[in-house]
Amino acid sequence: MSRDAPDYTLLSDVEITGTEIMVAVDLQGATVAMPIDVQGATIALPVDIQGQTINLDVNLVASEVTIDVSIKAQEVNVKIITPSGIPVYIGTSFVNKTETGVTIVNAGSESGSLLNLTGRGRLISIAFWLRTGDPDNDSPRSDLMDNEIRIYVDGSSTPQVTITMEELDRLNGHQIWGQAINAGASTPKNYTAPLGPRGGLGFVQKATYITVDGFQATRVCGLYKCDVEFTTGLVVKWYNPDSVNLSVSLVFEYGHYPGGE
Amino acid sequence: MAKAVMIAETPIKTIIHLDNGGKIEFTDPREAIEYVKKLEPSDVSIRWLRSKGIEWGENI
Repeated sequence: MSRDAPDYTLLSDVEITGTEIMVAVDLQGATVAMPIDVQGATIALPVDIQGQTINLDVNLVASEVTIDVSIKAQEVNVKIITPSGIPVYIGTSFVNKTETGVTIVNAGSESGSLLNLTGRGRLISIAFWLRTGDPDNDSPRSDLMDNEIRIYVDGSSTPQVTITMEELDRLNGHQIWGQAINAGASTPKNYTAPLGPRGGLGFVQKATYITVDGFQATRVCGLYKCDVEFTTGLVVKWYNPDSVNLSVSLVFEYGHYPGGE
Repeated sequence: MAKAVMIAETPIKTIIHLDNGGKIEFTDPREAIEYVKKLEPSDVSIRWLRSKGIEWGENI
């Protein structure tokens, strides 16, 4: 190739045929750069790999790896096919609401499965209404804010996600807690709070008793937008650390991945 | 025949989600088991039946 004749259209065909072909590119150096710069009005860069067995290892080893993929176009269509051949969708697009009745959670124990999903998908949100005892035994309790939602993912024996009522209030700016503690040992009062994007406690019915560590309550209502993914199954349980039975009513929103098994 | 893609259980009902987009709800868990047994087997239904102590092919 002549350096004196740059004004040409470069056409370069590389065609290798054979029963066994190996092309090895081995670049070694303190600094190696191999830029591929393709510019044109229309660009086609097909990569077509077909074979009975294909092994395409991309192995990036470095103290720091950055992969930037920038796709700019008026219309972008990216499909990612998983090894099972199932396209990846977002489970949140497919909500199926399911409602439980009132479930009694025994004192100092974990409930049974309040929601037991088999399959692949995403638990989107949990709305709940927790109250003390039954209508005949509606005494205020100091441990209501310590009640805990437990989410078990893919058959795990330990919960992957746990959140107490007080933590859920913290997730929403600790609004209920702030109102209740600031009010002191006043008369029973209802507190409400606007929910943030991740949920929180929307309503608490406070009793009179109050300390710096907490307050008694008879009702706690809230919403937890948990967005927990699972591939084989998910279980939600409720832990009641109190010394009396509590009742809880829940609504779950979940979505499954269509075509997935 | 449809296959189960997700099965949701709560204390008051069992919901079978099918690959054709449909879903069927049962309040009696025994009826849900009988229904899943008659579906085309899928990974979800086999795993769910196994959680109930039923191996696919047994008593079906």
